[in-house]
Formats: sequence, C-alpha cells, structure tokens
Amino acid sequence: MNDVQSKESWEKIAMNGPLTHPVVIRGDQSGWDDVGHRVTGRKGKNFGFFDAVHGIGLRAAVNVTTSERSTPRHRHIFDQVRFILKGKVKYGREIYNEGDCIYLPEGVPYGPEDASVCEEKLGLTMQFPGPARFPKPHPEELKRAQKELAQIGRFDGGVFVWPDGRKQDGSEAVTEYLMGDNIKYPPPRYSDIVGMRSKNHPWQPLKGASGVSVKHLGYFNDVGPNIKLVKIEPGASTQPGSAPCQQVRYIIEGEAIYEDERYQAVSCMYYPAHAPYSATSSDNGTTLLVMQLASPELDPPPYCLI
Amino acid sequence: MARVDPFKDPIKGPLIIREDEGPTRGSSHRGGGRQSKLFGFNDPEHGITVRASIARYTPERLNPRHKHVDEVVRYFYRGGEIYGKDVLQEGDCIYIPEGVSYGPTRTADGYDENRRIVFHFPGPSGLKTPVVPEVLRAQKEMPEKGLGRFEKGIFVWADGRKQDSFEAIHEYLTGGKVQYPEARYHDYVIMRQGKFPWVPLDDVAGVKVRHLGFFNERGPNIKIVKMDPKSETPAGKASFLQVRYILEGEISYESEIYAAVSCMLIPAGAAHSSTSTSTGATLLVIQLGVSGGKPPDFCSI
Repeated sequence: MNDVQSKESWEKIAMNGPLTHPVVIRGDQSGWDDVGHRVTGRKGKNFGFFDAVHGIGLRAAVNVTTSERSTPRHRHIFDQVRFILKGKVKYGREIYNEGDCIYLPEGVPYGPEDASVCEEKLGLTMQFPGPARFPKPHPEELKRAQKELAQIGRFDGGVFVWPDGRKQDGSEAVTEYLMGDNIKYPPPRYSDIVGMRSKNHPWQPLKGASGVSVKHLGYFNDVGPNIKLVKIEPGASTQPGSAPCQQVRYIIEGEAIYEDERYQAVSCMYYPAHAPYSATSSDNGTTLLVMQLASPELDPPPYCLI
Repeated sequence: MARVDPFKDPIKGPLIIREDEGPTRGSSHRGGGRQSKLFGFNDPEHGITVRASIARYTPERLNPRHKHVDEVVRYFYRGGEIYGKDVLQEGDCIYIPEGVSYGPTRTADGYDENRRIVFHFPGPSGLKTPVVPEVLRAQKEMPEKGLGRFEKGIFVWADGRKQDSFEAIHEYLTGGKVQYPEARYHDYVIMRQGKFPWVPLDDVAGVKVRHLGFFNERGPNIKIVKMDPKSETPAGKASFLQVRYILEGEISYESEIYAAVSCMLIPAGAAHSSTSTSTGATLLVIQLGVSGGKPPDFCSI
C-alpha cells in the first residue's frame, strides 16, 4: 500500500485524511457502534471517508438492522446508495431483497422504513454529497449533535421530540442543529428512489481484463453515482490505473488481494480521484460493489472504468 | 438527404422525419382519445426495430396498469399525465424498463390533453414486440372472429375474461402466453429534467447537456442537449444507435432546416454530419447499444 502505515493509521486517514492515495479498511477494523438518532435496532461500522482539506466527505458503512427498527418517512440533503447483502427491508409499499441496490437521490422522500419483514438485515450504506453539493457531516459531528440534542429533547422511534412536544424527523433535527438553520432541501431530480434488482442484471465481460465481469446497474446525474457490481474470477485481476472520479469499492463476497494484502468481505476500498491505484486480484474469486462519484472538482466518472 | 420510407426502406444512414411527414394513427386497441404521428423506424434487416412517435392524448383515453416486453422512454412535451401515484408534467421524462408494470394512466386533472414524445425499443433481453401493422391487423381480426371486444384499454374475451388489450393482441399474434423478462428495476424512473443543471459539452462551444440517466449495460443513455444560437455539434460516427428529437427551436442538417418536433435516427455505425442551429434548439437524445456493438459512451454527442 502507498505510504506504508499501520492498519490503525489507515483507519485514521480514512476518517480524517489526508486521502491522497487509496486506502482499504477491513470490516473488522473500524469497530461497531450502536447507531444514532433512530435509537434502536441498528448496529453499524463506518469505514470513512473524510478529508476536509481535499474536499472529500462521504460515509461508507455496513449495518445490521434488526426487526425492531423503524424509520419515519423522510428525506436528506445528500445522496445515498444502499445494497442489501442479507435479509430484506420494506420502504413504503416496496420490499427490497438480498442483492437489491437502491439509489436514494437528494431531496426525495422515502420510507417509512419497516424492518419487521425480517429478523435481521445486513446492508451497505453510502452517503455522499449529491449534485447540490451539500457537505456530508463527519460522524463525530453527528454524534456530538445527537448527544447535545438529547439534552434538549428526546429521540423516540426515529423522530426527535422537542420540549414543546413538536416532532421532527431525527436526521433532520440533527442536520438543522449542525447547520444552525432550517434545511432547504434541493429540488428532487428524480421522482422517487430507484431500486435496481442486481440479480436480474447480466454479467458483462470487462474489456481488457480476462476473468472480470461487470453488472451495470445505473449511472445517474452528471456527477454520478455510477453503480456497478464487479466479479473477479479465481486467479483474475483488474487493471491498475487512475480515474478522474472518486471510487468506493466494497468487497461483498470472497476475498480480494490488494498490494499483497488480503481483504475479506465486507471490507471497503476508497480511491481518490486522479490517484494511481494498483490491480485488485483474487485467488478464490470475489465480488465488489463499485460506486463512482465525480471528483471534488466535478470531473464525472467514465461510463465503465474499473 | 435522400427520401427514405422509415418503415419500408433499408435504413443505412441518418434520417430525419418532420412531424407532419409521418403517418397518423388514431384510435387503437385502447380505445379513442389518442392521435399520434409516427416518425419510424423499422428495418429489421439492419437491426432497427424501434418506434418513435409523438402522441396527443385526451381525458377520454384510459390505459390500464400493464407492462411490456420492450422498453419505453417518454418525454412530456405539453400538458400532464397521471401514472398511478405520480403526475408527469411538461419537461418530465420517464424510463419504463422491460417487465416493469405501470399505470393506470390518464391525462392529469386540469388539462384538456397531453402531448408526449414516445420511443419504444427492444430492451436488454431483446424480446420482440408486435409492430404497428401487426397490431392494427390483430385489432381488426380479433372482434371480427368473435373472440371478444376491446373496451377502455382492455380486451374482454367471449367468455368474459378480461386482459390488458396489448397483451391480448401480443398473445393473439404469437399464439402463446407472453413471457415477460425479469424486471431489472423495481419501478419506472421519472426524471424531472427541468431540475437538472446544464453542463457544458466538452470542446463544443455553445452546447450544453443535461445528463438524466444511463441504464443497463447498453442504455438507454438519456440526455437533453441545448444548442445556443449559431452553435454546432460535430460530425461523427458512433457504434450505438441514437434518436434525437428536436423539442424546441430548429436545426440545420445537411442544408435542410428541421423545426420542432422532428426526429432524427442515426443508425449504429453510420457516419453523421454536423448539426447546427442559427436560432437555437433543444434536443432529447436517447442512445442505445446494439447487439454485438459497443455501449454508448457516457457523453458523446
């Protein structure tokens, strides 16, 4: 790995920078937390990736959600991509199953989220500035806001109850507390969240990389996300290179090898825009969820550069 | 540009059809309340089996919830239409993937009519859908043979069974049950294109793009392109098929002027000339990879 450093320092770099070269965070490295303002039914671990100096701020996480979890219908000022690894979840009237990927654009209401459709769901979440470029707050800032807000009112079943009894979506209350102002949601570009059934998309051979194939799930906006699944057969390898865009690559199945280190599912890689990256290979086969986003300077992702 | 019948002749190069040049289609298997102009384009020998049209719908027209074996992109040109829980209004664009149910649809409250631009094309599974002459024949023959009747968008079989009228026609023509492809997306995708920003097109002065969405491994790649007065898009040759609807203004192509609404088809692998405009124009561009070809680039206009 570039700038050889201890695993602990990679994790620190992922959360605070400087993100000037690829980092890979193991699923077992970053610790699990009970998560946040929705109070119950979710444990998660944040992989990162935040570097204010270089204009990078996105949250990549893996979460286990239990059936008690409920979230009111709400929206965000940022974009999200979610992927269901195991179990299922219901948003509104629609049930999303294992292998489903969901793009939740900024400003688009979704939910209520009903987790009671299964005992436990394992899923990936990526939250990042949408086309309106509202910055994604650092998890430590969110924790602080949540703690301080809990001294003013209380979080209850996904909503925040103010001392005067007024109820507000928990995430919205936290965001407004941090902003010190009312949220002005960006006008939605899409009318609804977009659910992609990845199991029904075919694998397409990746040009120039024998044994590597791709599922093209969707490319949205002028800045992405460009969302793909990548399968690396045993003994195969992706090409090294550099890309004009940011990339998050989750190892969701099997084991990947990057610069002689082995990473099991679920681990998470981040490649800054324009930074050279090495090949990714696998002895026994692996599947990656790849999400590409415009660079901080807004260079868009190419259609298919893996 | 040589005169080519977009339904009967070989399509080997770019074609542009003006709205008043295409054949008109009125009432259909879904009943009255629709008047459409067909731009084209059908040349199976050269791999072109798409349907581009502009249609005017009135509140008389009701379409039941249904799905297709092919795919559709629609652009709402004037007025509004209700799709189940959603209302599509002027400037909205919708992608309806193969195998995804949608509707019921009807003209939105407060409008006397809605005008929509329609592009039907084979989806990624490549399943064939009946073409217009086949549909018209079935529409005539099914009642004549006493099989049943068309009523408000559905076909009522002689035994009282009800079925989406297009599905009934499809099964009449093929003699078997329609096999729908597994849906890759949970639902259709509505793109409120007026909310997307204009992004300058690299190396082409005065031309901007709205990137609405790129779906599947071969498209559709859907964009809106705005050409300022006296601007020009470059000539070129692409390995994918393109349709370019002139939505507003007018363009000049090989010394001919085409006003809104006209429709240009550029077959995969065909060279095309530059497109210019003296007074400005806005285009809806849909790009589609073809069997054995390369997928569209993210942004190549």
